[in-house]
Amino acid sequence: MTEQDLINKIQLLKQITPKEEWVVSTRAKLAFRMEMARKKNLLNKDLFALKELFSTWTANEPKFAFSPVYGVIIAFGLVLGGGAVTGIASMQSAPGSPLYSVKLSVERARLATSFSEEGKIQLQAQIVDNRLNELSAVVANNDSVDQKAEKVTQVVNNIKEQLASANDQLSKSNQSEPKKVVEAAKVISEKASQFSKALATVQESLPESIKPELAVKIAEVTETGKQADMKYLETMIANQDSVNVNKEDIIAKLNDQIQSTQEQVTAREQKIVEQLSFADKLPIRAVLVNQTQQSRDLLEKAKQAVADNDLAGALQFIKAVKAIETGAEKMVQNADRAISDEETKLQSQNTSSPAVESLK
Amino acid sequence: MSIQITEQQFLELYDAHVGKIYRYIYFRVNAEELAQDLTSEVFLKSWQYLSSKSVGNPRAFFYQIARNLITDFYRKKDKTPISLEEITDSPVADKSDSPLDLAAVSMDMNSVRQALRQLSPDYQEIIIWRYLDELETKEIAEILSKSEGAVRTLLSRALGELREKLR
Repeated sequence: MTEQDLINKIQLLKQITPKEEWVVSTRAKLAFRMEMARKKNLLNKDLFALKELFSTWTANEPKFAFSPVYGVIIAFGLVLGGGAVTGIASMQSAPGSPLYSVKLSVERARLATSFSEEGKIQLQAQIVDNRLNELSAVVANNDSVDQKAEKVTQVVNNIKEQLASANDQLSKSNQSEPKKVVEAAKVISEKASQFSKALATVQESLPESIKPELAVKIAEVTETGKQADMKYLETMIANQDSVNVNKEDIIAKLNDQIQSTQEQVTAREQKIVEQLSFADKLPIRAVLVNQTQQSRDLLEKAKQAVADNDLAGALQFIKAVKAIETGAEKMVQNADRAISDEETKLQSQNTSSPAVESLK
Repeated sequence: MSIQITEQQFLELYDAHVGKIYRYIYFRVNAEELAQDLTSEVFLKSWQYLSSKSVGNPRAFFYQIARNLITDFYRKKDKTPISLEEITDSPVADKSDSPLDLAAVSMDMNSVRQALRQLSPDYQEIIIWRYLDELETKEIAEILSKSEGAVRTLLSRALGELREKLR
């Protein structure tokens, strides 16, 4: 037997793995104990102070002096010892609950220890469903505005992470199983779309004061959702020959993308006209106008490619336009900032004091 | 370079290494529940240390803790490893397609497991770490507090003896 044969035989033993349920429950218990240890350290510091406090009370109420302190310690012991119960209870918890972080830990553990790609995608879809349910519950709850905003932010942060992870997982998935890859991409795209719609509803229902802060986060999630949609389209086109993908569906999605990208270009053009019309001397304006024209030309080419049945070509044109628009959006924001700075400078020059004026 | 790690980073280390630590302990104690208990203890003890101090190589640290726990277990129980006839656990994951392939792989696996168990603990460990857990020679040297040269020599002898057992 050669050394390589021997090593190959040894490596058969890699098939021995721990049970998934045990891995997940152990992780949840570990996370919980880590959190409790941290809080216990904080509490220990306070307990000494509390004891001092109660010891001065004994002079007046000796019977009850230490019982609240002992009550806290006993309750703490029960909480520390109840790992399994906590793990189960955490799965019902909602944003804002002390066990919500344990719930997220358990979800991450399940994903990390899932051995099949199919399993991972299904889990990710389930996690997105969890977030959708939590979002509905948060909106329906009678919390204060600040509490609602905090809970929505928690959910939105997690969903952004999940969608990005799902997109990443899809990129790494086994291309030798195209049907599964296309189905997985479809699931992610649908979930992302559901979530974007739910978020738009949530945003409308929240008061104006917190909308700007959340708007940025929601925009990030919506952008991740759009990436999932593009990924689904890419996957369908890449696998249209090997999998029974309906060409009409692909064409419909391509047309949707062309339409939405066209709207984006028009909106940016409008912004240039409204916000940068007097910024003739800014070279950036010329570049932006040029880019708008480029985007329009590429979109026309994309439409032509769809008509010519060159679906992959159409997708490439759309992606090129999106790349231009992303860059252009940043330039518009920078130009905006430059103009604001100029205006501020001008204002401060025009409002010099009479004392200064008298010296001229 | 030593790094202080956060709770989240530690949990990511758990995700990355729990399977390998479990498998190493399982081969050393040959009992599923015991391997689970000791693996849990590895991570708990590691966190107790790492929450306030830093180590250069957390992975090597886990294996050191695991090794110490196994030694403690045998010292307390005054047991020798369970005999060959008591190997009952079957693998959790099997990637074979047909029943015949399944049987062939299973037989191969059992023969390797049995041969591995006939080796001394030092030889078992080094084979598990190098060929199953894919640790570098440098890491193994760190765990065993030996030189890399000594580790390579030990590995060569371990493989030689395993080959003999498999004949």
